[in-house]
Amino acid sequence: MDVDQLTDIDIIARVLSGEKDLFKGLVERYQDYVYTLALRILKNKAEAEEAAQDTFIKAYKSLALFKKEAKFSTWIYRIACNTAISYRRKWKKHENIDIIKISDNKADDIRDSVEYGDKKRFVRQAIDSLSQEEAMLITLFYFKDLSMEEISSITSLKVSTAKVKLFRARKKLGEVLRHILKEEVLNL
Amino acid sequence: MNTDRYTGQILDLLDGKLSDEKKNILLKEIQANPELQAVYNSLKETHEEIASLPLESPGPHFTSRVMDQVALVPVNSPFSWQGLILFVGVLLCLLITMLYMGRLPALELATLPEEYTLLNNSISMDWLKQVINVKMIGRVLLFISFVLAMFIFDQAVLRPFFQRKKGYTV
Repeated sequence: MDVDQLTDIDIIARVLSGEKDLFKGLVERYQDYVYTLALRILKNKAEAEEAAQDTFIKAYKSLALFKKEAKFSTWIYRIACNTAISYRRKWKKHENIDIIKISDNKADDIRDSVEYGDKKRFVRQAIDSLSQEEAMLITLFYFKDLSMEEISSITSLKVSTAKVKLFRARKKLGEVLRHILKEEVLNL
Repeated sequence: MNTDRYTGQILDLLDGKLSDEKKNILLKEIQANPELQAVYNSLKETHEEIASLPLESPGPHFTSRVMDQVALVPVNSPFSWQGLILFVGVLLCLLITMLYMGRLPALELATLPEEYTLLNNSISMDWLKQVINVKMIGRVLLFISFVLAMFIFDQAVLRPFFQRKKGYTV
């Protein structure tokens, strides 16, 4: 049977019974989600890739502890968030330097994005301007099939707190976009 | 105009959480107010752009790198050392409680017998009584058990709890 046809729970059961290679199916299924989440938190591709890799290794090591009644996606996102956050703590000194560099070039980057009409790149930059928590919440919110309860369980925030923080993050993103649109009009 | 109070409603509208009635009222207000319209447009645009943002992909050999590492590590068994430590800790605490509640008075009164019979020969215990203080030994054992119980409580309950709070653990 093709791995794609197996559910997450089936794959986990078979990996635990010795078919180690089937874990590849879970990696392929979730690698983009895990990497995106890590990238939005860490804002650095190399670190995000390392954190994503670490996430899957941690998940593999703890696979036997995964509760079958839970959703694997929620579990792996939680590991990804925790891993990325601990990476961020580890690289805090480097990050401070990066932030300064990004801030210096922000205006130019944004102008370039708008000039080239590359809205997607601009939105990515706008997300990068958010704090790690805001970026994490926004990313999870726009992942498919995640309820606020699941987001709160992944981020270890209360549902009400997660809602408020998400609201602020979305509002902030909207304001950044509005500001840029105004700038664009002025530059025309 | 303070548009802040509308932001929540606009976000609910974009998420499809507003009833038809509320949706129509809000849309009319937005149409009538250019400032509100600007807020709505920017939020809508942001919402649509993020929703259509493709997922990022790691490097081309990501899966094989993960699987190479997976080949080297064993899967943890459901057996948990923490669980075992916690179980032993609970047993120890129960033991201390039982000792304290039921046996401690007996411990306080405990003394060595006057004599001990071994192979039909009575051995006088007087000399041993002078060397061994049973009450003191009981108290020392109780104290050691208490310290052990505290250590186990810290390792099995407090430490994992605070690590989870800080987001260190899986």
